[in-house]
Amino acid sequence: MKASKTAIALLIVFISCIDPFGVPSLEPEGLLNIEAFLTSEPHVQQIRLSRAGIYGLDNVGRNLPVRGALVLVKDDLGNIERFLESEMSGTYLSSSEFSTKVGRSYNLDIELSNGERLVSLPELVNPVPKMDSVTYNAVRTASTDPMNDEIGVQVLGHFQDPADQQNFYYWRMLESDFVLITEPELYTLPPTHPTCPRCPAPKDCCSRCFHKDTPRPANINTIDDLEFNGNYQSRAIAYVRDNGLRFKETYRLDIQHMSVSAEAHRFLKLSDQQLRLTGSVFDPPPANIRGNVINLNRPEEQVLGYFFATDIQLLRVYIRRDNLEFYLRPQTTVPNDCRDYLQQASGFPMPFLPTEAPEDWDGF
Amino acid sequence: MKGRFTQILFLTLLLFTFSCEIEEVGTLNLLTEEIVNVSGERAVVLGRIIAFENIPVEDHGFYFAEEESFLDPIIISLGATERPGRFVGEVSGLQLGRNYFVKAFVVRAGEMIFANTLSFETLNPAILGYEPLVQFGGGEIVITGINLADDTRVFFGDREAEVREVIFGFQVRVTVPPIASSISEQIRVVTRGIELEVETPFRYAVGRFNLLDANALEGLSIVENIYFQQGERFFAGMGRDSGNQSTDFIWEYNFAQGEWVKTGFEARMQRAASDSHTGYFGGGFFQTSIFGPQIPSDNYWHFDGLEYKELPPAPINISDGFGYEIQGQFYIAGGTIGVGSQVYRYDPASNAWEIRPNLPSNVDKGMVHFVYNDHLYWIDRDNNLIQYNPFTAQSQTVSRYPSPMIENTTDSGGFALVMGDKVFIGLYNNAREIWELDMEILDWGRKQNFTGDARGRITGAYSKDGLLYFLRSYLINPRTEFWEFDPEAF
Repeated sequence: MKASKTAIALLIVFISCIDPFGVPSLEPEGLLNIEAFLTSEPHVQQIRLSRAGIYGLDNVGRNLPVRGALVLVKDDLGNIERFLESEMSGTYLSSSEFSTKVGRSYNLDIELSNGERLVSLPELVNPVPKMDSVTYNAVRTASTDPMNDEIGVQVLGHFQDPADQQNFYYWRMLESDFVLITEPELYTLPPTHPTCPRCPAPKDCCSRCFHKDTPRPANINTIDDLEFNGNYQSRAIAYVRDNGLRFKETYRLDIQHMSVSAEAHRFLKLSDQQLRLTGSVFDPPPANIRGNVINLNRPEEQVLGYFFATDIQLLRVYIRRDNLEFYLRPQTTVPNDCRDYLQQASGFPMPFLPTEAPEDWDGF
Repeated sequence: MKGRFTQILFLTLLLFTFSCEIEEVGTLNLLTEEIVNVSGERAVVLGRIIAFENIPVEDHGFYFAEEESFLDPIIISLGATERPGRFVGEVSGLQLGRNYFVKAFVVRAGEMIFANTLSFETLNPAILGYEPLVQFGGGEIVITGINLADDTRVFFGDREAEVREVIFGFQVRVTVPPIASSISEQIRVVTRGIELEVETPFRYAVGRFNLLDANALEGLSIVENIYFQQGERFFAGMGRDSGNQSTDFIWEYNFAQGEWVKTGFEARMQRAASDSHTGYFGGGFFQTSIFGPQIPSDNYWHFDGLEYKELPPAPINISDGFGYEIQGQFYIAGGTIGVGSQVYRYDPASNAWEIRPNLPSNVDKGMVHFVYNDHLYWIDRDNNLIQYNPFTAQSQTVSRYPSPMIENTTDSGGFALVMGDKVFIGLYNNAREIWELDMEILDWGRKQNFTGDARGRITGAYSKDGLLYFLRSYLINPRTEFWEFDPEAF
């Protein structure tokens, strides 16, 4: 009896076939990342190529630039713009006259130094409906801090959505300028001062400088006209959080008002969803967002990023504190000469902030 | 016992029968998904194998053909695969401007499976332009166009040129054949049997230099001098000799005798003066002796073709400044002492000087400058050609001098001669290049390089009967040579 059981067991072991279950391992290391955002505004446009670094608990790698690539942008008529590698490695620049044209579709065509070739799917440039005007107002939203609401400025764009076409909008905030107000009369000597630590030492100058700022939060603001096709729109196109410094006087916000393709809109929307994950059970599952660039040599390889070709209208709005219904109180006090703000904030020798307005400043 | 053996045997057979499951091959769908990119002779197409599991296929790829029946297809085979998903194929060698059909295929278990058919039209070629518009025989030009095939051939007139490279279908590097009987040739481009003619005729870089006098100006090597032209009369003088000998004379070229002869004008040794090249000159420094102090000079003259007339003293000391004449009024500007952008104007009608708006940047006589259509033009040391309206004080950069400037070697000196709508510019210090600038389209055309000793500096420049004449002084083997340049000869 025992022998027969052993025989059966041995038979099962030797006879049964096992198909190995192949688990394709994800290899994020070395994926090519493409940052290409071409617009209809003629200027030197750039495309950046890099290899994605390792990101995880143990390691946060750096995205290594991809050098020595041949980068071409082709339109559907056969016109070709060659992007030449700049001194900033991994950054490729067009001529200063280059711009996308409405109605044309564009392909990105890259040949890497190892001979691999990548092409993008065609991106059609649709005309962006012109923005009539831009207004703004202060908004208060609940925050994670139950004692303090978040306060910011919401920018509204007013435009007519055309009824005869499907439109996909994307608004992007650019680096902007604002008037930095400080309180040099409240300056005190440093605590390490040999004779009089923290003694008041008011400075005569200067309380008003001009500073550059990357508007925050950097949300991805995109929408399609499915729900408002053909209707006049007054829509929130940007939001800048009040951090106590930005709106002490005037904030000049620059915004790109763009039309993007349906595929680009989908990519942006999915990216926005992923960026808004908070870890709650109601979050959408983490997703692997596919771009529109294909490696011809290895089509199965994922290429990160997206090749955008857009029509654009530049918007500029001067947000003045006096026009806001409310703003963050108390505002941030900077007890120093405003020209020294960068140095004080970083603790390292930094350039002085200018007290003269930028040449194209048209504010107050 | 027998029954137990039977049970074991039965179980064994059962295991043999069922333990190795024969893999059942699933179904797949095949899609010709998208035309990614089309150019003149190339196309990139996207296909997709849709399946829920890995399915081995012996081959996959695309069929391309001009007829939808695919009787004579171009087959792009991508080989065996088992992974579902998208695949990409690129075909080259297509005919320009033709309609094509494409469909994806897989070969599975010996059976050919085709997907849906898409169509596309290859693009037609066109020429957008070429540069430079003027080049030497043996030099290189780059023709820019769209959808140019790898078999592109280029002809200058009837002569075929060597195509060095066809760059991604939009640029063709071509070696210019040697000049034959004409300085201008029509360029034709033939690509995939389609002939295209370039609109702008090509021009050869030509010009011939002729040394008229190897020892002009009595053997002196003058520098910091002035020169001007009155009608067809050429003048040069003042300044100093490179050996610091005084050159307080003005010479005139005598065409009949073929030599430079002194005029009756005698000035103090005055150098670094401003001159309009039209007969107005003065300022700079004078020295009572070669080792004497340098004293700013406010002496100005005008030669009207008959006599040297002294002008009232200028209200400003200017040395190495611009001099130019616009609408009969003489301007002096900039210089190397004081404010380098100040401008004063002498009006012959009132016989007086008046201050004018400053120039937008500092200028000095080392910068080539000229007057065209009542505007002042100069080339700054960043190669920018700046246009300045003296009446509205508006200025703009309109072009760039094409040759590189090297500080202290080629960024000073030179000449500019206006001949109709053309301006001849070049021969900077120690440089050989001469360019012809078309002021109507601001296009720069190369001329034949200077064939004499390059290590000299221009000390006089004139034009007569379509020919250019210039004086060039040398510090090594000190001398001043007088040259003639025919810009159209070859």
